[in-house]
Amino acid sequence: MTVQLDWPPEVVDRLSEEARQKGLSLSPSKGMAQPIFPARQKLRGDIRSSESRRSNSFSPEPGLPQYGNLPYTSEGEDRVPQTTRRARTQKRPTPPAKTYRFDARLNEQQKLLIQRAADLEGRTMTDFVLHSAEAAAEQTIEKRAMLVLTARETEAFVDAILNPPGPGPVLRKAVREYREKMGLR
Amino acid sequence: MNPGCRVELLSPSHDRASFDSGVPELDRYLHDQAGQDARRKVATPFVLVDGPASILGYYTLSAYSVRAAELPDAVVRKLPRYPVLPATLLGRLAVNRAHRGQNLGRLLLIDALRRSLRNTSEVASIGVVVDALDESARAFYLHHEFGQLRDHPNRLLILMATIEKAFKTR
Repeated sequence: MTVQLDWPPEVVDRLSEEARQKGLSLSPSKGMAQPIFPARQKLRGDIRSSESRRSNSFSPEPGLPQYGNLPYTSEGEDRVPQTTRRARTQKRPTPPAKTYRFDARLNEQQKLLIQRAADLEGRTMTDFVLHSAEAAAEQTIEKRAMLVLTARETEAFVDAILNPPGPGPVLRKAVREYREKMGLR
Repeated sequence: MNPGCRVELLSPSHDRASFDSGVPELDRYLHDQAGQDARRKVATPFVLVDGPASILGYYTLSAYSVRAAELPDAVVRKLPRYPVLPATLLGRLAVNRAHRGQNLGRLLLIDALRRSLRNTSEVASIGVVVDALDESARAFYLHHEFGQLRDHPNRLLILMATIEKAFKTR
């Protein structure tokens, strides 16, 4: 469960600054993870905020290492991307792309396993599950649409293409029968 | 089987719901998915009919690719390295249980090969690949001179050149 502490932004800024000085800015400790994430919700103009909050990808378990250089963890406007700044000044956030919900139940073992894998990659569980499922789906579709030959299969295949076997007696007979049944010449 | 039987594209007028091949997966496909696949141009289902509606059997064709491994030097001059070759997939083939023992499976197979061959005048295809669901399906395709792939026990293949010769010779 995520504990959400609504710390004032100044405190958050001070904490991140302190962490940065100690060389810890990109991987905050357990204590750091909690104050930083609630702070981002104050950035109403952030173009990604509404979408991210909906998909829940920014409420990790405590202790999850932060893996990106996010604009709201740094001070000053210098590191805020152009698009974000524009969105903020216009006070009109870009409407998020249409998203869909997907609910699934999992037992404790599955949850622990997936959580552990997600932790190892520094991702949230949702993020990890979605990425994995996407890759698996692509693989399934590719498998359905393509046959990938191994080296020794290729050898036999190329051989057959260069010297195609003629039709044997079974195939010839089957074609003959087909012609008769279907009323072809 | 009546002499008036023919193979045609699946259409809403065909009675799909009553089709029963004895293999639930193949039945479910025709009942629920075949029409959608046809509309979306994912696969083309063909049905064998002898009356106005009832389906004796069906098969599906779709575009497929065969990707070869890196080729030995001896043949590289004849074919491109790492070639992806166009092929035709005979995805499913099923016969209605009530019409077993009439060699309709063979009739459907030859029809599928003939149709695939005819299509090569428009779109090239190196051959027809099938996915055999079980051992008896595998034996069926092997009997009809499909080749086996050593590392894909359930995929079988027949070259278009072989099909072409079969339809040319009398």
